[in-house]
Amino acid sequence: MSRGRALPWLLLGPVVLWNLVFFLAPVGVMVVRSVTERGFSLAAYRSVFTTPLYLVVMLTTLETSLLVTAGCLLLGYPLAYLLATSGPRRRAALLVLVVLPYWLDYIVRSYSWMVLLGRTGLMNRTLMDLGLIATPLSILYTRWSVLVGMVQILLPLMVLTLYAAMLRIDRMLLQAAAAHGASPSASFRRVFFPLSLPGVYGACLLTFVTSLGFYITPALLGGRKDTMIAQLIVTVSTDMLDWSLASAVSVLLLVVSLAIVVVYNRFFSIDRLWGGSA
Amino acid sequence: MGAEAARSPGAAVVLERLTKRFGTVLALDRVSLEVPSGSFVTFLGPSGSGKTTTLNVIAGFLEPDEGEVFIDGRPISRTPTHRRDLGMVFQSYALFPHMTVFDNVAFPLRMRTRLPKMELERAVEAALALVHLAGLGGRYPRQLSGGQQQRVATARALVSRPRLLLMDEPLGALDKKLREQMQVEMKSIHRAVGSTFLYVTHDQEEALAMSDVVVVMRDGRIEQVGSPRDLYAAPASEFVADFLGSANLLPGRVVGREGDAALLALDGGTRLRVPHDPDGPAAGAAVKLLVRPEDVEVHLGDRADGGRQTVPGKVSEIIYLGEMTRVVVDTAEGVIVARLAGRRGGELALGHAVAVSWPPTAVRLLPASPGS
Repeated sequence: MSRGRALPWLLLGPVVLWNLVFFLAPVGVMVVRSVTERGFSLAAYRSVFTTPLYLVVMLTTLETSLLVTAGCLLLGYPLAYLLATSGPRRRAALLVLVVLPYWLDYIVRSYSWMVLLGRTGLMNRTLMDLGLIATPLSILYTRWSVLVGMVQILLPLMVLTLYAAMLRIDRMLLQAAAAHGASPSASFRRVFFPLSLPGVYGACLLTFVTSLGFYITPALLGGRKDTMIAQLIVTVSTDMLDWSLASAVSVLLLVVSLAIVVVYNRFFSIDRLWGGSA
Repeated sequence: MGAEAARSPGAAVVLERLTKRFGTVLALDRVSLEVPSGSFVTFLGPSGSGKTTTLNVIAGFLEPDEGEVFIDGRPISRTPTHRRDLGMVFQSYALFPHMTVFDNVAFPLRMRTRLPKMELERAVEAALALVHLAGLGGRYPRQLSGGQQQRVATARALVSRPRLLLMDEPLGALDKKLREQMQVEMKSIHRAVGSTFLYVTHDQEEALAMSDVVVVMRDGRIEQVGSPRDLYAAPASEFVADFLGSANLLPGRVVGREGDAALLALDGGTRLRVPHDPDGPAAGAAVKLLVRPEDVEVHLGDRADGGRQTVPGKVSEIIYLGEMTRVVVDTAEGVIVARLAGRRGGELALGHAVAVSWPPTAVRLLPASPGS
C-alpha cells in the first residue's frame, strides 16, 4: 500500500527536484532581482513600460514569432501529411531527412545561413552567374534572413508534432470517406484536415513559444531593426550590466509567453495535443 | 449498366480469379464467385482466410495482383473507390468523430448528390428511422453506445441507396444478445432496401442466420459456396463440416461398395453401410464420417433400436445447457458428442455404459483432408 503510493513520487522525484533547483529557483531569483537590486523598487518595470524600445522589441518579437510559425506551418503541414500517409520505407527515409538538421547545432546552422545569404554568398553569386541580377541583393541582416533561418531551425519541431498528431487519425475514417463517395480531396477537406486541427493548434503553439525566446539566429542573421527580446536581455545584462532591468524584461517575456499559453489553451484545449478528447 | 441490372436496386457482382499476395503470403488465391443482384452473401472463414481481403478488393482499398471484379457486368479495377457506388459498414464503425450523427449519415448524400436541404434532411431522417435512431441526429458518435454507433454506421451506409453494401464484421463488437437482435434487423433492412449485401464474418451462426448464400473461405481460397442449409447438410470437406456448426468426424476407410452404398471400416473397428453418391470417395480411400451431434442418440445399455447404426461407449461428460444437454461419449472410434434436445438425457450419468446411435441417412462421407 505505502509502496504503491510512494512509487509515483519516486518516479517524479528526480525531475521535480531538477526543475526546482535549476529552473524554478533561478526564475524566482530573477523575479526577486527585478525589484530588489537597489532596495525594493519598481523602477526597472517603470523604465520597461515607459521606454518605447522595450515594447517595440517585444512587438517585433511577437511579429517575428507569428511569421515564423506561419512559415513553419505552411511548409510543415504538407511534409507531415506526406510522412503520415507514406508507406513504411518512404516514411523512414523522410523522417531521417526531417530529423537530420535537428542533430546539427542551431548555431552552426545560423552561421551556415550567413554563408549562404551574404553579399558574396552562394545565393547572390548563383543569381549573378545566372545573370538574373546585376548587383548583389542584401538579404542578410534583414527580417527575411531571420525568418528563413528561424523557419529552417524550427521546422522539424513543427513537422514532428504535426506528424505525431496525424498518425493518431484513424485511417479507417479515410476509407469510410472514400467508400461513401468522397474524392481524395473531399476526404482531405472534410475528414483528414478537421481531424488534424488539434495537432495544428498544438504544433503552432509549441513553435510560437519556442521562437519567442530565440537569441542566436536573430543575432547572427538579423539587422538592428530585427532585434528580438532575448537579444535585448543579453545587451542589457552584459553590456549595460543593469541586472534588475534585464530581469524585468525577462519577466515581461515570461508573462507574455504564459499569457499566450493560457489564452490559447482556453480556445484550443492543449490537452488534445496529447491525445485527450475535446 | 445493363438494362436488367438497372431495374433491380441491387448490383450483380462477379469476382474473376482474384489473386493477391502480401509479400510471400498468398492472401487470395484465384477467388471466383458470382453474386446475383440483390442477394445477401456472406464470406465466412477464420482470420487469415481472405474474406476481408476480398471485401477490400471489391471496395477498391486493395488492388488485386491478378483477376478482376465486375459490377453489373463492368470491370471496376480502374474505378476509384469513391466512384463505385458503395455503402460500407466497418467493424470499428469508422464514424467521423468530429461530425454529429446527422452529418455522418448525410455524408454520402453530400458527396454524391446535390439534394436541396429539405430533401437531404428527409433522407437522413428516413435512414435514421430505418435503424430506429430517429431524433438522435444532434449527438456526436462518442455520446452513443456501441449498439447505437453500429446503427449510425448502418444508416450512413444505406442512406444514398447504393446498389452494393459491404459489411466487414459489422456486429463483431456487440454483445451476444444485441448481435442476435441486429442480425434480425439486418435481414429485414436487406429486404427493405433490396441492395446486394456482401457480408464478412467469422461467426458461423451469424452466417447461417442471415445469408442467402454462404461462401466458406480458407487460406485465401473459396472452400465451398452454397445456401446455409446445403452447406450444413452437405459440406464438401472436413473443414466446412467442422467450421459450420459442430461435427463428429470419425476416421475410417472405404472398403467396398454395394450398389449406392459404401462399406465403411472405421479406424476403431466398427463396420458400417453408408449411403453414398457414386462420385464420392472410391474404395480404399481414407475418409471421415460426419455425424452431426443433434442426430446422435444415447441409449443406456449396449443396444439401440433396430435400423440405427450403433457404437458402444462410456459417458465421459454431461453438460446441461437448459434447452439441450451435451453428452460426450468415449468410444473406440474416438469421442462422439451428442446434443440431446429438451429433457432427454436426464437418465444418464458419468461412467454409464451406453450405445450411441444415429440414423444411417444422417451421415455423410467426406474425403479425409491431407495431414489429418
